[in-house]
This record gives sequence, C-alpha cells and structure tokens, in this order.
Amino acid sequence: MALDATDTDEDDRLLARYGSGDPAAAGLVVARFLPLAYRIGVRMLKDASQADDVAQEAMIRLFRMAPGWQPGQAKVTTWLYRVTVNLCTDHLRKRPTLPLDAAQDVADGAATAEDRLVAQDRSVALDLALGDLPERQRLAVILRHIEGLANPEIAEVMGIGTEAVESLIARGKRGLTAALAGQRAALGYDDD
Amino acid sequence: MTMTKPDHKNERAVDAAFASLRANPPRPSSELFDKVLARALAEQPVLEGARVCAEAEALPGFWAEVLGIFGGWRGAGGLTTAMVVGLVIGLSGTVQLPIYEATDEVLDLMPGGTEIFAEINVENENG
Repeated sequence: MALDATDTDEDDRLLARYGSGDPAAAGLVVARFLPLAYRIGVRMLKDASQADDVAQEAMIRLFRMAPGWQPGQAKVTTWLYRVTVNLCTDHLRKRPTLPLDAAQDVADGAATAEDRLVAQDRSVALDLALGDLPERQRLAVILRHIEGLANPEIAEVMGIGTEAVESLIARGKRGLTAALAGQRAALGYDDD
Repeated sequence: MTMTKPDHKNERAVDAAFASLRANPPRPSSELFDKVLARALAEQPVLEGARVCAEAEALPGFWAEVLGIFGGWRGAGGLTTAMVVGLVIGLSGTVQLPIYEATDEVLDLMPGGTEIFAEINVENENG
C-alpha cells in the first residue's frame, strides 16, 4: 500500500483540485483517502464505531488543510497517517480500562489463545496478537508490515528517529512471532 | 516473561499472516463514505464560477438565464449601479465641456520639416 512518486504527484493534484473548489474532486478525495484513515482507525482501536469517528475527523482536517497545501513539501498520505495516528492515540488515552503502553515487550497472550485457536484464521490470529502489543510497537508494525511504509516515513508519522522505529518493529515482530509460535499447527502453518 | 528464540518457520508464519491482513483490509461502510462526502462538499471552498452557476440554477427559467448572462447577482448589481449613475449624469445636464471653435489657422508642429523631407527624398532617388 506504499505510494510511489507518481501516486504522490497525483495526490497533490487531487488535493489542489479540491482546494480550488472543483466539485468533482470532493468524491475522488474521499474515495482515495478515507480508506487509509479508516484502516488505521480499525487496526489501532479495534472498534468500528470509534474508527468511524477517527476517520471522519481526520478527513475533515484534510478538507480544511487542502486550500493551503504546498505540493512537493510533504506527502499527503504521510500527513494523513500522522493526523489519524494522533487521533487514535487520543482515543486510546481516553479509554480507562485499557493499558496505554505496557512496560513488557510482549503481553501475555494466554487469555486469548483459546479465541485464536477457535478462529483458526491467520489474519484473525495475527490481528489479536497485534492487539496485545504495546501501542507504539503495534503502530510501528502496522505501518511497516501492513501499510507498507518505509522506516523514514514511519519515523515522520510517529515523530521519532529511524533507529527507534527499527527497534519498535523488531521488538513487535519478535512478540508476534512468539505469540503465534504455539498456534502454527492450529493455523495450518506446519503445511507451509 | 520468557521468550523463546523464534525460528525461521515461525517468522514465515507471521509474514504469511501479514499477507492475509494486507489482502483483507477493513473498508469504510457506504454510510460513512456518504457522510464524509457530504462533509467534503460542505467544507470545500466555492469557485466564483461555480457560485454564479449555482445562483443561476436556483432561479427559474428566464431569470436564471438573464442572471447568468450578467455574471450572477454581483455582476447584475454592478451593471445596475452603472446604469443608474449614467442616467443621473445624463439627466442633470449641468456638465459643460469646453468646445473649441473651428479656425483656418494651421499649427506647424515641425517647423522646417518640409525642406528636410524633400532633401531625404532627393538623396533616396540619387541612390
């Protein structure tokens, strides 16, 4: 899902059209950018209703930013990732029952192991395991391995250095590997 | 917490699971799409031309066409103001412009010019 230079130029042009008042561009902007904001919302919050709210708010900020957007200075998608991630972080901090960023590298997955085995689905199992990761590891892994962003762009989205990104991704992936290690047979990986 | 060193098989399993997740991204509902699109149109800056057209479309038939010709309410308003001012000036009739009387006198703007041009003509004819 990573974008190349052509996509970036296209994004710039589309946003410029919207910002200059072209009514036909409104639907195109929504179709192009809403899925991105929604995906991040769902994967970070694990709640479709809250993901709706986050995606809508992120898009409103995009609409308001559009008239003043300077093409070529930054990627529209990087900007939108950052805004969406910040909104997700705000939502997570408002949840009283969920720990924010656990001190341990990998949360104990024993409580949800049965659910994973019952699901017997690779993506569901990984999704559940992702949910057990500390917030910043989860975000870094999602952006790298699911959204397909390069580490420097992830660093820009998260507002940290590239080395910190590499560390978060490595720890996160180690955690996921360990969490899924006991479920390979149930998930059909032994046949791979 | 004890963590065993993951082997390559486990890492491949995780990579395959990532591929599954990438292939099945969560998608926004059509209700959310419609809601966001409505907001996009509401937040969008309006082009002057589009605004004029929208105004014209809001009026029925003949008047919409007339308003469109004059460039919307703003254009029609400016034209009306100019017409009223022109009418007032015309009706007042108090403005006197200076009128020069016709004379037979010829004003020479380039004294000696006739002789100069004659010399140039002679030189040109002689090559």
